[in-house]
Amino acid sequence: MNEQQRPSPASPDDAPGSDAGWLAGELRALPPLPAPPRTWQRVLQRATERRKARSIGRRRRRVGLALAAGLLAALGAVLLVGERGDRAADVRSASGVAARTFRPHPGIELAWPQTPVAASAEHLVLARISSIDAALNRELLHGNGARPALLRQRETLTESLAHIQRHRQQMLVRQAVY
Amino acid sequence: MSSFAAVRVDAAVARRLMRGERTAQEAVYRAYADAVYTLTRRVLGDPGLAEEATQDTFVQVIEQGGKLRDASALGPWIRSIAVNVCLMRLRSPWQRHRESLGEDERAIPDGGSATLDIERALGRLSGQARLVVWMHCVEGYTHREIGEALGRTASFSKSQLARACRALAEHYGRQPQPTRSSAAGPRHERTATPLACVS
Repeated sequence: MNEQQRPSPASPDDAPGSDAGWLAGELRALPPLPAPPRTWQRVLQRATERRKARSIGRRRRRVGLALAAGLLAALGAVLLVGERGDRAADVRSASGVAARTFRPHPGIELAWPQTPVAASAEHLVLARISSIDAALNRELLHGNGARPALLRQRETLTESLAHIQRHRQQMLVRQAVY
Repeated sequence: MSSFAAVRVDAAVARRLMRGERTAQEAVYRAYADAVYTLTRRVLGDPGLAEEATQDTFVQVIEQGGKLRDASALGPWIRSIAVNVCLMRLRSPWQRHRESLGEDERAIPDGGSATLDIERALGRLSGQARLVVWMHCVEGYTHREIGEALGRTASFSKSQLARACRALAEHYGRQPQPTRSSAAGPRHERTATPLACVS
């Protein structure tokens, strides 16, 4: 309903003298309650805090993106050089760059070991992969070939694990930056 | 009368609010603070919760002032924010737990005056029923609008209102009147100030 056309609060169903009309009359006759003192100061304080929190969040996102872009550029450069030289050595070099970049500072690790959610998810996925591996081993021992469904599932889980580990490492890098 | 309908704010102030001017924000707060607090206090039934909800409402007014498109719709816009804030509060697990505590542990004012009496009667209703009663009887929302706000149907709003009215009738020790839908049955004689709602 258009707010400008909203009928008077005596609702459309409430004819004067009707039951609902009586209740509406009683409620509308209640006096307005004054807002507690100092509410405006608290509103201003909260609005300011939220604005600051938002700007910090924006800054963190910007720095995080810059960091990720820098890292990708470094890896790209190493791999590009590798096209012309010893492939294995360059891949090792790239891995080394990534490992050095993601290696958490010992102090940081103490202060922020792992996000509990990521850690538990990681353990869960690892356990699932182990159980699939065991099942695959059993199949091979019995002389059967590996079941494609199990292999596909393992591949998916491995991807999930890599994703979770990347997330955890990013969290550590963020903590190190801030 | 709805407290919101009684408030008049200059359109120029509303336009300045839309531009994010601090003086306009304060002027709007001064104009609507009591109306917002009254609505939140009546619906949530607790002074502390109502104060928090009032703060939430005006924080949103400050942050989202630029989204207001029509300066003349300032009052309804603030009211809809306040209603949404109340709904969020009512849906929170903490509030549901509080509702389950029962009337004895909720803040219900004591007193003998007629005003306090109806306040106590309102305090005995569930939060959702208070919201429906207040939005329909005081703020003039239709059952369809209330149903939409609650994510339910118009019939749900009607039944909530009827139930609330029956509860209020019991509080006043009156014989509830049959609703229009059950008008086929024997109709009681009306008392001087009957309470059952027909909607």
